[in-house]
Amino acid sequence: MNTDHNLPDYNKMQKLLPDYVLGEINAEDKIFFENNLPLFPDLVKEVNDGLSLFARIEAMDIDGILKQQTKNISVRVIDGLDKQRAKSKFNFVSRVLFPSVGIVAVVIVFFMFNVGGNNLFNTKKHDSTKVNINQNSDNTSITNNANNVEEKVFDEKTIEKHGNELEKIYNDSPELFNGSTISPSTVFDEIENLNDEQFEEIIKELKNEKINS
Amino acid sequence: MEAVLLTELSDIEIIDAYCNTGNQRAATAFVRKYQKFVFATVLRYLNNFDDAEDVTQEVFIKALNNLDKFRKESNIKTWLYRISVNQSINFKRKKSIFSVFKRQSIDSVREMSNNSPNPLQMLEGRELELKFLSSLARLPEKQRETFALKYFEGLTYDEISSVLGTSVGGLKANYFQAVKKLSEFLNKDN
Repeated sequence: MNTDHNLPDYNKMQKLLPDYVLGEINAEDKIFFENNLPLFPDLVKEVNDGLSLFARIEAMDIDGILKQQTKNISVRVIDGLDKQRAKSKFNFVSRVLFPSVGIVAVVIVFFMFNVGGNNLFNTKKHDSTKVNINQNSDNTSITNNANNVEEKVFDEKTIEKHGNELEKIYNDSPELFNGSTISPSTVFDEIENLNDEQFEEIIKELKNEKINS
Repeated sequence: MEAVLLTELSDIEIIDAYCNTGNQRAATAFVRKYQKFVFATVLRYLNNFDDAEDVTQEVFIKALNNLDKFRKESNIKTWLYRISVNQSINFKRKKSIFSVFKRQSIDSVREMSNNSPNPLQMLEGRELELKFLSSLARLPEKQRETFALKYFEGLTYDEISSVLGTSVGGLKANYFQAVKKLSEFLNKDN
């Protein structure tokens, strides 16, 4: 029996050992390995341990355990898939449909209160809660909801134009407004309820006053 | 009956049947064909029968939802293997996060398990197998997986190399090391 590990065959035997134990050795090497194996007791032990392990595993019923443990898996998977589908429908409603409807509603409400230059956030010049605005081609028609009577009043541009005119007069001749009930602020307050003719009257009055004085 | 017949179809035929019609029977056939492979893989990562059942279910749901993305030229087992390992790792991660809360309810779990048959009681008479499985669990991951995929699942070294990212030479070494260690563990325990 040769136990000298310095022999060149020992290295070759060691290299062949895994393939032999795992059953992956070719015919030629197998003959060589089996012929030389009795010379190396430590390798004999390794081979026997390996082969006996496979024999023990073969005798076990690992497959039986797996079968027992997985017998309901397919039912559970199908149930799981059904639940997931039901959940994804609910998710579509709760995550996509409801928020989309909400956003559309908010956008509609926002535009309802912002058409024609009237703005919810800019109520100084116009009280948009009082009037519904129908924008015509000339931008001057406003319908008064409270009385349900159409009356012509000024749009923003006209108000600005006349306001500037009035302010110019006030700046040029502030004395004209002394003791008068008319002032730029009072006119601004009332300007939405005035029609063209009334406003022109006021301007004329002020101009006449200026000329007379 | 039809499901039994479907299991006799090839992988591609089952996949096509499920992807084209969403057929429940095709899904059942697919699960039945690979349930032991997936369960065994997940069990090796989790070492717990209950958890392995839950995760196996998740693996199949994920696989079936993505079956249309499976490239038919690749191996279904290696594809399922990757999903199984990822799901197992995610499960372990989640479990470790929630372990703090679970510890508080250990007593109630014990009470429950006293009243209902637990999986290990159901495996009575299978001590050898359980001893082997616990020995397998003691191996380093690459050795354990190489051994299991080669010996139990019959995958080639190239297929194992593609999922474990180890060279074929390295896999052979891992395989043999696993055999040696398993022999040692089992001999010691005897």
